[in-house]
Amino acid sequence: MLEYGTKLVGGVTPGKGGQWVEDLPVYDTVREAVDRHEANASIIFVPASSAKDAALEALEAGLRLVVIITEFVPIQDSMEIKRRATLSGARVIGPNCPGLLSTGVGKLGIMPADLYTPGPVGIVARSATLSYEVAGLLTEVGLGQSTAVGVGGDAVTCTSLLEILRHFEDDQQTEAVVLVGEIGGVGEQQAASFIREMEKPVVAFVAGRSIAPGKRFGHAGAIVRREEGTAEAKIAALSAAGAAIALTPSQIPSLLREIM
Amino acid sequence: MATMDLMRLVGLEPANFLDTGGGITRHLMYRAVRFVLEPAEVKAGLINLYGGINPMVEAARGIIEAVRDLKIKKPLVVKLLGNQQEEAWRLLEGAGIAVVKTVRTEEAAELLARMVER
Repeated sequence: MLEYGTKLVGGVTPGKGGQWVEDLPVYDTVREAVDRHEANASIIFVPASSAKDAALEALEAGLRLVVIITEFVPIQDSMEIKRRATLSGARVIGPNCPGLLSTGVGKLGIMPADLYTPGPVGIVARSATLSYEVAGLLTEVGLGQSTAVGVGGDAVTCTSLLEILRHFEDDQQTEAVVLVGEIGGVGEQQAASFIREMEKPVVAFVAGRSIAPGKRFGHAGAIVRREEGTAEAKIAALSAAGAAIALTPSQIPSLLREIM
Repeated sequence: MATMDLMRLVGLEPANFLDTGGGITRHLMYRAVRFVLEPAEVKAGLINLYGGINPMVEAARGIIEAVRDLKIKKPLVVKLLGNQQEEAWRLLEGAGIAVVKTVRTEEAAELLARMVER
């Protein structure tokens, strides 16, 4: 993150206050760190059992953007974090996500930065690895990215695909959006309801067309429990809403060129 | 999952699926390769890795050790990108393992399909 130029000002680990890491000061509490420095965002790597604690502490200290990288955060914890975020008017991304990267601005996440180049395409994805692949494909053909956001692989995410689409619709740098979905839940269908109203074009890829129901494929949220969780149902909803559908990630660049 | 979708498109039918998640170690990769490649009904393997913060040299070492210890002769393609990629590629190629270095997962699937045909 430092290499990318992100303005990291310090770290927080209870009990390690006073130490230094990579020339950055470590504090015992978020409040201390925020009092000493101008910070408005946080990225959390703490273990699942303390992730909620860390997130709520960040929100209470007034941070407006919080990324939770951690996987295996209990669903109830995620739900509570999400509720508090809404009450605070803050944006929490994750958990179980790679974070976000805004080209030329900074990276609050773990994505490999050299795959990204500045440009007009926004990326919002449930799968981190797939979002990297999409970024790489776009950069390869000169279709740069504005911001890439991984909302995470859990069944409950603190920020939905739809909410990120809203941000992209309002974002000056973004002219088109790539949505990377997968089986499980109804996030893509909800996103589709907004895509209908969007002025900016959307290309969607949904992973898991070959998946049988009832089994979890890696991500906690990647499980088909009902018809609506299938890739087919999502593709149908997205297509009906006007999104261009890529059947493989490599179709994305040419579809984008067509609609942009 | 997209990896499986793409494999199906070139006629390769997945026998199993394993998502390592974060926190890759040599030991974890070793066991992962063992789980997915060792069973008799598995004819070939495709490993697709993207090192965001995961150490790819560790991953490569785990793969190489598993292939060597378990004497795996089945067709195997490793598509690997991310941090430490050059060193990881060097190690894998040195061990005689097919490596795909592009962003396109299709290329790995297509290469494996060709290897399986032979």
